[in-house]
Amino acid sequence: MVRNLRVELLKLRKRWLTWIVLLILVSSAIILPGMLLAILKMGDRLPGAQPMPPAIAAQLEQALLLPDGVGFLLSLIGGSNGMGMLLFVILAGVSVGNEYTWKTVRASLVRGRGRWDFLLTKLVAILLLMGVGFLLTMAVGIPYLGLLTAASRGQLDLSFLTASFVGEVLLGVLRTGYALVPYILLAMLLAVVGRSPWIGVGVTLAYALLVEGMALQLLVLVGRPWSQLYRFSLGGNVTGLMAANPGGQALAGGELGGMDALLNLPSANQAALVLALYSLLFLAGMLVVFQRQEITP
Amino acid sequence: MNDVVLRIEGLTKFYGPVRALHDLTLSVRRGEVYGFLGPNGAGKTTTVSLILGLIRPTAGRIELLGHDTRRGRRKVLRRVGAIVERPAFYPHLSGADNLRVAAWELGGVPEVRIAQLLERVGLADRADDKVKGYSTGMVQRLGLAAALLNEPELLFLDEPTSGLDPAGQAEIRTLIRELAEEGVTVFLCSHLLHEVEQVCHRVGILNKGELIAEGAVEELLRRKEVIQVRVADLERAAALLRRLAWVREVRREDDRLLVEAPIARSAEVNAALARRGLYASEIRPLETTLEAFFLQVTQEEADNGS
Repeated sequence: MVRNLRVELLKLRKRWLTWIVLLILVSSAIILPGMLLAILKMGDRLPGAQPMPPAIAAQLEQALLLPDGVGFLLSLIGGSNGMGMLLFVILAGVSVGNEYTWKTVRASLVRGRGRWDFLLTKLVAILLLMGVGFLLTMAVGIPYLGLLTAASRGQLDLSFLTASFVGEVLLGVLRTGYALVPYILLAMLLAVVGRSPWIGVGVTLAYALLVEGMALQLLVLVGRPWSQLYRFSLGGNVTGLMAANPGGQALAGGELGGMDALLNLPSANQAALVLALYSLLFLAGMLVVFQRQEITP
Repeated sequence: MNDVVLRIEGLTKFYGPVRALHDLTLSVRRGEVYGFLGPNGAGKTTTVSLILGLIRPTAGRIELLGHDTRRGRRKVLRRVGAIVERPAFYPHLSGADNLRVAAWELGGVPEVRIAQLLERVGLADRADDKVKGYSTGMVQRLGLAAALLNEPELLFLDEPTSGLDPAGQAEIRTLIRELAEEGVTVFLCSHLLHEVEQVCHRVGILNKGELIAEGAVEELLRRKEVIQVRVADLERAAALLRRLAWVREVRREDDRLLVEAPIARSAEVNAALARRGLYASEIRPLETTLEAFFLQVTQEEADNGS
C-alpha cells in the first residue's frame, strides 16, 4: 500500500494539473476576498449601483474579515459549490479516467497490483493532496485576511487568536475536507463506470452545479414534499455540515445564506452521518464495479 | 524444457453472444519461445488478457507458473512480464519515471535495474524525456524494458516489433533469442510470420477463436511439404500421383502440379511418372514457409466453415 501510494503521489506530483489546482485554490483565497471587499467598499460609488443597506454591508464585511473570514475561506475551498469541490472533482475524475484513456490501468494490473489497492491508493493520494492544498490555502489566506482586516479597520485585534480558535480552524479544515469526500468518490466512481475522465468530471459537476445548485434548490419553492429533496442531497448535507465551521452559520443559515436559509438544513451531526453513508455507497460502488470490470484492449 | 510454465485447458470466452475464444487448450514449456499466430481478431489478445486476469473466462482453466490463476494470481504475476497490445505509459512522465512507477508497483526491483534496462533497449540518452515525445518505436522499446524489470520467468509479448524500423525489429528478435538463452520463456503474439519463424521453437495458430494447428515450426512445415512437378500431360500425371498412398494432395497450378508429399520421396515421384511414359521436365521441392503454411491452414478453415 505504501509503495503504491508512492506511485500515485509521483504521478500526481509530476502533472501540471495538480499544480494548477493548487495554484488556483491558493490564489482564489487572495483574489476573491480582496475583490469582494473592494466591491463592498466602492459600493454605491459604482455607476448604476443600488445603495446597500448599511446593516447588510457591515455583515458582509464582517464575514470577509477576521475572525469570521475564516468561515469564508473554508466555504471557498469546500462547500457544495466551492472552488475546492470543482478543482478536486476535476483532479479525481481525470486521474482515474486517464488510466483508461492511456491504458495504464492494464499495465498496472498485469504487474500484479490489486484492483482495490489501485483505487484506494489513488483516493488516499488525492485526499492527501487536498489536505495539503487546504492547509496551504489557509496558511496563505488567514494572514492575507489579517492584512485586509488591518487595512479596512485601521487595526488588527488579534485577541481572537486563541488555541481554541486554531483548533476550530483545523477542525473546520477537516470538516471541509470530509464534506468533499463524497464528491471526489462520485467523480472516481463515474470515471470507473464510464472508463473516461470526462464522464467522471462532467457528470459529477453537472450534478453538483445544475441538479443540486439549481434544480433541487428551486424545488424548495414548489413546496413539500419536493422541497425536502435538497435536505437529502449531497449539497444540502455539505451545507449543513459547513454551517458548523467558524463563521459558517452566517454564510449557510443566516441572512447571507440566501436560499439555504429557507431549506431547513440538517444538523452538522446528521449531515456528517448522511455524507458518510453517501461516501460508503460511492466507495463500495466504485470498488465492486472495478473488481468486476473487464479491462478490454 | 519439459517443465510446463503455462497450461491452458478448455478456455472459452464469450463477449455477450459473440464467441471470442473456443475451448483453447495449449501448454508452453519453460525456456521455449512460443509463437501465437493468428489473423487480426483471431483471439490472441483475448487469450493473453484472460491469462493475465484482465478479463474473466466464460469457461476453462489457466495454470500460470504452476499456480491456478483462480487463486492468488497477483503473486504469480510478479514473476511475469507482459506487453498487452501496445505498451501503455504515462505521457507526462519521463521514460525513467515510467519505469520507476512500474518498478515500485512490482516491488523489489533495484533502482540500478532501471538504468541497465534503459541502456539495453537503447533509450539511456532519452531517459529523462517525457514519453509523450517518444516515437512509436521508442515506446515499444520502453515497453520491453518495463516488461523485463522484474527479470520475468515468463514474458508475454504482443506484436513487440510493431512500429520499429527493420534494424529495430532485428534488435528485438536478437533480444528475444538472448532472453530464451537466459532461460526466459517467451509467449510471442504476432502476425509477422517470418518473425515468428526466425525466433520461435513452437507455434500455435489461432483462427476465429480456435487453435487450428500447433507444433514445432519444422514439424508444421513438414506437414505441408510440397514437390513441384512440370510435365506435358498434367491431367494424367495428377491422376497417377493421386493413387500413391504417401501423396496427401495434388493441385494443379498454371502449368505445374503441386504435390503434397514428403520431399524425400521426390525421386519416387519421378520414377512413378516415368513408368507410365510421363517424363517430367522439372521436379523440385518447394520451400514451404510458415507464412504459406499459415495462409493454407487458415484458408482451409475458412473453406470448411463455409
